[in-house]
Amino acid sequence: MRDRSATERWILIVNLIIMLFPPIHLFFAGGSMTMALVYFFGSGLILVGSMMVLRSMGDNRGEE
Amino acid sequence: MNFAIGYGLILLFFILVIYVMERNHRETDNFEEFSVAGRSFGSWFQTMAFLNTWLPGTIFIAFAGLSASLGVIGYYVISYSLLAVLFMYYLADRVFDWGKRHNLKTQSDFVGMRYNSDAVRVTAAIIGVVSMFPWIVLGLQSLGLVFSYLSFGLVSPEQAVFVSIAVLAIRQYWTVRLGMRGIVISDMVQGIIAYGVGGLLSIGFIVMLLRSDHGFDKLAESFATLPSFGSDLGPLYYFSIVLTGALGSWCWPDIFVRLFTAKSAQTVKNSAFKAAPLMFLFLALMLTAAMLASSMPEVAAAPDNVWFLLASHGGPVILSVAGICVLAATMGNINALTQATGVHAAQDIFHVKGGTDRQITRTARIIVGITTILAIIGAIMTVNTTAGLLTLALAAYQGIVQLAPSLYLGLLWKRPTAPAAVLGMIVGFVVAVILQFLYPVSIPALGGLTSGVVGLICNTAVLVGVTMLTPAKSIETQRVSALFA
Repeated sequence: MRDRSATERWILIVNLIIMLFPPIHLFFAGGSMTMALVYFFGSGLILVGSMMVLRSMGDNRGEE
Repeated sequence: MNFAIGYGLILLFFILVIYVMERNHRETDNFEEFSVAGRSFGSWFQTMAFLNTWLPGTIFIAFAGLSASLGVIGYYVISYSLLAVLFMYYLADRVFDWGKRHNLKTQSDFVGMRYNSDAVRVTAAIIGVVSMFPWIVLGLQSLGLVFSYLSFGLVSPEQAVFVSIAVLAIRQYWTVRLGMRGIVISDMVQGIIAYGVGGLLSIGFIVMLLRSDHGFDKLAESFATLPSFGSDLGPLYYFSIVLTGALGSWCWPDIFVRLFTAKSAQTVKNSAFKAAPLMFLFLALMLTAAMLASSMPEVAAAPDNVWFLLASHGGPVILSVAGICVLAATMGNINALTQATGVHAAQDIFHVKGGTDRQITRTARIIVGITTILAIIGAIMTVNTTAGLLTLALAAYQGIVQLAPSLYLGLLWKRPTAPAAVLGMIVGFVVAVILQFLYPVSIPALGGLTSGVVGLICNTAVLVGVTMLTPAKSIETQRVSALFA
């Protein structure tokens, strides 16, 4: 249970850093379209992947 | 002929939505049924209701226009929207549990219960209702664009606003009568059309653009940049707009109520799991199509019309289908906003001291009607000032986000008190409004922070400061501890 809670906390922190930390997006969106798209699509995919990880954990596979 | 195709498809769409709503309707004066549909919906309905409320028709217009005119900065909507979905997962257990245990029906009801205070409840309701109004007017204007394009030149943009008002007034009959159940059921149909069909059209547009020499290599270098050091907007501007969007997400009363219409907390989580990939796919495709289209001269001249200009290359049927996508997204959003306005004003402002289910439901229905009439007047008065209205609607974000500290800290921390929450909200709201007036886009002296973020900082400081200086009485501490247990 404690492991699950820690994982949930880390998933939130990592996604907040990726989406909000200015040096990351200023670095990627600095004039190269390839880099910019890697950042925007990559960060989106990481968050979607995070949701899949959360779903696979413990009781989240349960019935409604 | 083209007019018949455009307006004929609109008519078919309306008949479909109304047929589905009428088949599933339950006539009732029960306020729980009117406001949260008896907490009965499964995760697919929850997902589509969330998407249809979160992504209004203007996503195809102003937000697509931002990508078409400025490039990747328009993708910020993906970042904050996905964070909103992630927050849904983390909020699900506690919000649903408290909501069901205390029979809560609105966001203001929720914070009022958390702080055991009518003042918190009324303040949150007033901020919510005031902030939602410009979006209803903007929705009406988005509809105007649809009715103008789908008339193929027979109806001017100004006349089209009046057509859209007439259509919306008719549509609101079902919102007033059927309440939340009608909204969620219609959201399923509207959501499939707006984001399912809209996503497929976007794929078609991308293929068409890439095959007609409008690839990524044709985009200006500035399209791949965000405001950085030395820019007019400042290096913290992008951070500010994503933060405001993400934190503000669950401050919108019409969005927050989605946490109460589900069958269980697990349903809310399951809808977050479904919403994340759907939202990401739709937004990535639609915004990419809009950005690629920027190299078309007609799009460069009118970027807000990019969705319709792209669709016009496919002939009248494709243009009409694209218009229906905007219509479907707008309808869901306007219905949710007007219903939330009615329920909040009725329960959390006019009947804050209590009332029978019948009285509150009746008041809510009347307010939905009055709000619609006021929005119609607002749309008529601003028929030629869409840009100014969009600015006002985006400014509403700076106001609504001032609910965030009371809402989120109240969920995570036992100590915040009612006076701290009320004072924080008022200070944050006033600071945000004043700064928004002085600096409508960003504050250069603060590195590009927006008015809303500065308001948030003041709001949080006041909430924490007052909480620490004036701790709650022991009876209140015990009540809150029991709530968190």
